[in-house]
Amino acid sequence: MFAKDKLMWHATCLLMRVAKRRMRVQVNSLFDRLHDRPAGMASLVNKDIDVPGLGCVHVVRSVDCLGAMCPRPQLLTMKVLGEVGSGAAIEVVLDNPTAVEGFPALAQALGCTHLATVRAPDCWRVYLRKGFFKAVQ
Amino acid sequence: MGVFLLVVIGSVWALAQDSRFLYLLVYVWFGLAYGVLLQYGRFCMASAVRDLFAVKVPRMAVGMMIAVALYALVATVVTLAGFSTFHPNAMGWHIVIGAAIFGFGIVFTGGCASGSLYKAGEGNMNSMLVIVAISFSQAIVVTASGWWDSLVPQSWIDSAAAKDMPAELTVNEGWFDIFTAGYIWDLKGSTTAEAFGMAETATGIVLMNTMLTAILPVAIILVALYVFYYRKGHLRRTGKTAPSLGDEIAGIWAMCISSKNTALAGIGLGILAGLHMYVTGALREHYDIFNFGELLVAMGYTNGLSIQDTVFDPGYWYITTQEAQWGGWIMQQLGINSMDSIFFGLDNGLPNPLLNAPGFMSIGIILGASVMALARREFKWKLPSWETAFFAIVGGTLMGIGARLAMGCNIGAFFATVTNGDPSGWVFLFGMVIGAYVGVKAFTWYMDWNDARKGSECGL
Repeated sequence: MFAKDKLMWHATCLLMRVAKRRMRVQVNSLFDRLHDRPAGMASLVNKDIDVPGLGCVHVVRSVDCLGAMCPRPQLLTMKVLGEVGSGAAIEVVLDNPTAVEGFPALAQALGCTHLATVRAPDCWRVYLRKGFFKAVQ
Repeated sequence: MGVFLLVVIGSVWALAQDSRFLYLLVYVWFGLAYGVLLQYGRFCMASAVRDLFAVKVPRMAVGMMIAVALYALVATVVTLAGFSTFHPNAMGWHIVIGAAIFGFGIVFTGGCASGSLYKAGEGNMNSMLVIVAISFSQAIVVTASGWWDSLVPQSWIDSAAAKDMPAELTVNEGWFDIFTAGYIWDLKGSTTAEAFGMAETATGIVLMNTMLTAILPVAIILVALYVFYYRKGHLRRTGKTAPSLGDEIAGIWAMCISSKNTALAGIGLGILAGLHMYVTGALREHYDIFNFGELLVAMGYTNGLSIQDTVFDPGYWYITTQEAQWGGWIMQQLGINSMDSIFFGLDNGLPNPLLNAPGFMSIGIILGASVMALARREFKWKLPSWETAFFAIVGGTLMGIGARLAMGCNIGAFFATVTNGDPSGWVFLFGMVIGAYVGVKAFTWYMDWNDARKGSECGL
């Protein structure tokens, strides 16, 4: 009985230590984010981005959806796609896994081509091109 | 991995206390598995109805239908084996109204009740707020009296008074008590097989419950989704102008597997949800009980049981009632008597959250999702802004109110019902679709209004 309790105690201590270290990292990133800004902004950019597997893509708009809840990312993307010309590429920055999952299907419905979804350390970057194009390798 | 170990150690510890906690642990582990699958498939039942209107994407609706079909098939086997834990819901207008309020709410919270749980497991603080809002709004709705009581018609009050309920429940006080005793109890709820008097026969269960109530509507909805949302794009992509029947079937298939993760999660969730009923049903047989409350009495825990010595113990996937119990329990601790309501006092009890078996299923979903999210490096603390926090609280409150009026959320009142042969779930879905449609309109209007207001600042 005693041995079992002791084993439990050691296991709990070990877990607590791991959890503490994890928490410290998470809490730090939490405070970085406390400087609040409105979620979901579309900014005008004109930049060339090297998308892995695609090469250089000229992006005309970047939609910042960090921290946004559905359906805001989808609706914002729809709006921005309505403002750019056919053939133009846009970038959507997301940290909502559920929304990321839906973007290829969303692209089909919005009349654009899903170029790539790139995993960045803290978010995903989705690249879309307005109009239907053959999928690029 | 640490989270996983923690649950294992917790389980071993609970079993060491009393082996009968096994019953509670079944909920924990199924919850954990639901959480893992929901996160894996990024399953979002809110987007299933919302995205149809918001962006015209059928992806998630298809995933949900796959899950319904699979759950229905497994549920048939479980029912035939005699281990079904299912009880049909009362059919009535309250379902449409409650579901519409619920559907309106989910557009603003960004997730349904289970969706909010697994997103909370991904570190989303908005979703955590939603859970808090759902818990308290439900607890308040079911215990409120005073001016709320003027909301119910006299006929319900008379009918409730005629029910001869124990005096400590004060049925004539509290609008939800009057609603339950004076309205819901006068309604009938039955599975399709029961309605045709075939509940005891295998033909009734297979034909009426599974085929007619689940599989056929699923097939119709899948074809409708294909025709209205997927067909045009699919034909353009494949370059067909005069498609044959074979092409159309290939198109439906392509729609079903267009998001592989979601389809896989749908299959897994369907099978698990059925198995969950089987395991709980078999355990009830083993302990010779109908309700976890009896087991709690046997183990010496009598606090927080209802006057019938029962607690909420559905025996299948359920979300909202246990969240109401969390809220109600806290209110009770704060000195607000909540046990004089039918909802808590007569039916579900207000057990200590540490002994709340379905409550642990919800916690399991959060932990399961965080296991998966951490493993895939998708875990991230997401702070709400003032705006999203406001939406989370208001939307969560609406979801709570809607879920109580409709006697469940999209899991308890839709997913678990239609798959077990109770057609009231389709009524719930209908109400939820209406609510989501209005919700999407309102949300789009809000975004336009907000853009116009901020337009000059952003320079866009």
